[in-house]
Amino acid sequence: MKTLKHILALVVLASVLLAACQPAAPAAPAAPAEQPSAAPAEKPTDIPAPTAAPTTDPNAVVPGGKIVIGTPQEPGVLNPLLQASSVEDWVSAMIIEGLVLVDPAGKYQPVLAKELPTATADGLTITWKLKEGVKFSDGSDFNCDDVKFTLDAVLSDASQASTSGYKDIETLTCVDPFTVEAKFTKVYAPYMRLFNFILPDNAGKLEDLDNWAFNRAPIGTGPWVLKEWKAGDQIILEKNASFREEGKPYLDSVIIKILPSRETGMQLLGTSEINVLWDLVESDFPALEKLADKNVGYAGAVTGENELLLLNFGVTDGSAPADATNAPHPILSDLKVREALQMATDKQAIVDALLSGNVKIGSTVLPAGDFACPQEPSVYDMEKAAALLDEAGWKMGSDNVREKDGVKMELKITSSSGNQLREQTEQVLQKMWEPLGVKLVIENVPSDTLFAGWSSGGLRKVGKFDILLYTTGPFGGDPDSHLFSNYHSLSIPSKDNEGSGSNYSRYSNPDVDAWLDEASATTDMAKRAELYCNVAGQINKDLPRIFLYERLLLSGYNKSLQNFQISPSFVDLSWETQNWWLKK
Amino acid sequence: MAEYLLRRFLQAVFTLLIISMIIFGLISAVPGGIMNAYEDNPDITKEDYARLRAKYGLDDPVPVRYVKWLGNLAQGDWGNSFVSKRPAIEEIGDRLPNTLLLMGVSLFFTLAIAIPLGIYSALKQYSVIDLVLTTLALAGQSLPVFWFGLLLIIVFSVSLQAPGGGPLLPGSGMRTPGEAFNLWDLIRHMILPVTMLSLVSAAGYMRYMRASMLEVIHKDYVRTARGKGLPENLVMTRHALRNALIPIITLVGLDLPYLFGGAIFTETIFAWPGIGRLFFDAALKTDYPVLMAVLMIFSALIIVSSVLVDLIYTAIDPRITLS
Amino acid sequence: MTEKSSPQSSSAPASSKNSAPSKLEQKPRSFGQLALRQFLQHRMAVVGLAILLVILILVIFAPLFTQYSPTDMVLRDRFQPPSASHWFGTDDLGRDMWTRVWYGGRISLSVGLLSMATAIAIGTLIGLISGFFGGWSDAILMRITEIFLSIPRLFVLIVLTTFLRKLDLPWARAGSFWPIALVIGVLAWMTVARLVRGDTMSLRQQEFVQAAVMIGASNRRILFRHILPNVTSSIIVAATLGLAGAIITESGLSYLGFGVQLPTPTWGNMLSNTQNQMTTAPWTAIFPGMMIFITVIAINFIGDGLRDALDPYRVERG
Repeated sequence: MKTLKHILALVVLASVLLAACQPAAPAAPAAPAEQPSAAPAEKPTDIPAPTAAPTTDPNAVVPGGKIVIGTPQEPGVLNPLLQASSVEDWVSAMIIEGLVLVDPAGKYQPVLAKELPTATADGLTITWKLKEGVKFSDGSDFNCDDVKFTLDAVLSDASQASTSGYKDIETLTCVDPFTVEAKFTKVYAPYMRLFNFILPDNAGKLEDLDNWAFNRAPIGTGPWVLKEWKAGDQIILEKNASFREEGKPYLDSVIIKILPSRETGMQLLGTSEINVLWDLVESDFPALEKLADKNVGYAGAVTGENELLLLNFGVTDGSAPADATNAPHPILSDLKVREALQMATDKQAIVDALLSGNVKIGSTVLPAGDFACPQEPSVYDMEKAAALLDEAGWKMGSDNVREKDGVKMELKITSSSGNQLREQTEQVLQKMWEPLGVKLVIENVPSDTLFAGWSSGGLRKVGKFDILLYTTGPFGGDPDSHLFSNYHSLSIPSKDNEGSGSNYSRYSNPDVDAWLDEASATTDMAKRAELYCNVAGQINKDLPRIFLYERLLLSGYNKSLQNFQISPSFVDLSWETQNWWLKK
Repeated sequence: MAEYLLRRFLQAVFTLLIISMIIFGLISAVPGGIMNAYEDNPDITKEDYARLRAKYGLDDPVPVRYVKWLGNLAQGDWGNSFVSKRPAIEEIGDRLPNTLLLMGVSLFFTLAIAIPLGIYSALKQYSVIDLVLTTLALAGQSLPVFWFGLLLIIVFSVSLQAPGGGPLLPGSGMRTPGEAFNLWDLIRHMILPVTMLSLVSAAGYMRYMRASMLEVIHKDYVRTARGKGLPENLVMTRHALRNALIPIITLVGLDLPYLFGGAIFTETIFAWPGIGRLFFDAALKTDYPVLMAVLMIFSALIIVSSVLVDLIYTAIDPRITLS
Repeated sequence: MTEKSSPQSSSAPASSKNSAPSKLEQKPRSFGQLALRQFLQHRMAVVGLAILLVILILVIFAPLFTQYSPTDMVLRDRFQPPSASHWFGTDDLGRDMWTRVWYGGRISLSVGLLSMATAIAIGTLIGLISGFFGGWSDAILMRITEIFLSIPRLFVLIVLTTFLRKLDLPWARAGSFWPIALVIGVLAWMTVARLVRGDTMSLRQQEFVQAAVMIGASNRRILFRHILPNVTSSIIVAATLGLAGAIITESGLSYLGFGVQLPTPTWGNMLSNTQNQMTTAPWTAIFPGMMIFITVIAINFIGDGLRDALDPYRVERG
């Protein structure tokens, strides 16, 4: 019965592929991050500082050669205006550069800009100085006109890029061909993230964006030029002969090979068939360690995201209450209950058992970047947790499940199905909370169902859940938009705001709202950092979310490839690929 | 005959119309879809989101979208992929030769293995070889296909070395990255996926072949033929095999559409750029122009092969009439 | 006329005992007794039956054969290879695989057998009617079959689960297994229908069926007494192959949030995440895979025996 096999094929594949494309790494452009990749990645000697010229390397650079990068997903387009997935983001970042990008240490670095942009005191005018003498791979010059074109393109109707920030630009002036001055109608705090890609002004007519030849044959200033794209198979990039740095890129070509099965990719990583495997997850550590004797290593960066439990403060009947205090969750609306649940969660045990101890336990919404705000990790204390529940009136029932006023302490935990690590985490939590008298029921759904939007009645949006397990956080560093959309009371999805926002906990705290409003109205970094830290502290008191562990952006690679690094942003492994070279 | 074919054609048009409605309805009812990619991006503003929904044409009610889709199709336009922005039919065209190659060669080997072994197994029922073949075939159906594929890769692409160094056989794709096309390279890349596909499906075919052969060798007409003193070979080929082939033809008919549809598992494990994966990727992103194109062509092939099977029945067994 | 009679059902050896002897029956012993004797003489079939019984006993009385619970986890004992304390090793959360395999069989066997029976029943009926009557009934039934073959099951399942989730019917909540089995069966009958139809079209024209038509036997009688016994070989193969498929597919439905939810073990969900443990902990897949294999092979031998036992020609000779 082939038909049955067919369903299975789909479903098993779904589990494999979906595990790879959780919105763990949203295609959102990034902002500053401070800590260097705290990831256990490599010994310090293996990751040279981004500025370290390869000439300082005791082993002289050997130019030439090709490398193959395996990726489980295939890009659809390589045009930042239309891109909607992380694989598209990093592949296009090999060809198309931006004014300012996030380096492996999580800090903003000028790329096509000569230096970091500067803001006036009122924060309303931003100035970029551009590098001179840079050419696009088609031979045309890069200058302020291209920046202007990029702005028009982002704001054009057919564009699918985020317009945040760009839409606040009142006028963009070319003071001279290499000086860009933008006047804003209101302060846009994370302005550093703007223009993280630059299109040549001859890319095409804006009203015809979907039909640009550029979409599958992009032109940029980066080290690589697209030579051939065999759909479903491979994308061949060759060195850009007119790249601005003399003698670079070192490699002759980079081949992006579509390898839909990560298990296959893992096996081939130990052979000469592929050199790099993109998008590993923390649960791949054991398999990676097994490949260590085949000269396989990994590079990682803390993304600023946490694997977390999202607790629902509101009723779970799907009515999407805008104000959870009037329609509270029968169990989770009580702070004491939430505190007890966090205390009964042995985060370190989860990390040690499931992730070989390779990541840090979650303790704050701002784990990394310029705005990092470390908090005291929660304490694992079953007795105290039980005492808290007693105090809150939840008495142990005869079936070892607590109850209060006829309500059983039974909670559903929901995640996207097919993700082995999440399934393991759920089962471990179930066991951890059992002695506390909390019955945790696992009910997973396909990621389409879990992440569905307001108009399809997505269960997160309408609040039809008790506890969700997934990953989110200020990806790349600047927490402005993440904190606002996840913790501001205006971001509670409800009828009134047509379901926009990601505050699925229906969390509302006037102080948090005020801090967030204040932070988004200034470009003063120190002030913003202080305000965000207030928010992080308050979140840990109110516990709309329990942070389990910090997420990493991971890729495996054969260590003969030199200068391979991960930027904790959409650039991912495409950081300064001109410096890659193969050691014999 | 002409009248019969005309009738089948009219039925086919009607059936396809119903299928297209059901599939379109189902795809539209899948929660979320393409917009899920923007759902968790805090930098996508409410206005951006609304504009994108409109751009994808998702604001119209489902029946309106269906009629638009059907209208465009009537003019030969399958629509553009949501993901790559290219015409859906081009996406299919790129992968069609790869799919036909892999599936065609595999089907050939499947039948070349399964039919003789199935017959042998039936003629020597309960012999040691029959038991071994039965066991292997059923093991093949019980273990996850993923395992078999990975095992092939581990053995032939990782552990075993070619005489000149490097892995014995490539474990992924259909050509060595960065190298120009050459036939030997393609054949080397085909060995593992073809082996996996043909062995797994041969297992099923072999069971059916064995069963139907066992069924017919005891039948009257076979015994009569034998009684008449016809040579055993002739009895087998002329009388037994012809009738025993009916289930095999039915099954080949069910598998024919996959010459186009591809094999999702194999394509995934061995990174073969075929239509199965195109379909799967499109399904993950609810890229409905591509999904509809793949599924409708697939459905049309199901119908065509069902007509073919009926015609072959009459050729094999002239007593079968098509009313 | 060589056709004597045959039992109505071919799905279980027990039912052959109940089949009434035909009026045309002239031998002293009933067909059922003959078939049973034939079956018991079939060495492999008896072995198959014995294996299946052993599995059933272990599965039904699982708690008697283990000291562990299927959900007890010991995190520091993850991925322990088979040993004296854990005969089948431990899984990714340090749970005893021996225990989980037997508990897992409860749902897997129920789902596998029930869905297989559903698919076979629907497919056989449609195939018989379609192949025997031809004409409009054939056209309509085969067009329906084509529609079922064309519609991607993944979408049906996703939409169905979304719909059921909204309705929140008590019998279709996550955890109950028989709706899953029915769904798998209802989506998997088409191959059987096409196989049975093909065989029936060929049989319809053969002498013994024509003879039965001539003596005025009812259609029902011709279909079930004369044609059905002659198409069992394909059905039995479809049943054995389908059983394995259904057991594995069950885990796919859990994936959609419709099937059995974690941590309840089933052979399917024990297998579903094992591909990345293939080199590090192969036993996590080998044992559940082996259980499916042993069950399928047992069913296959029973099927072989059944077919031989029910084969009218063999009975005549026996």
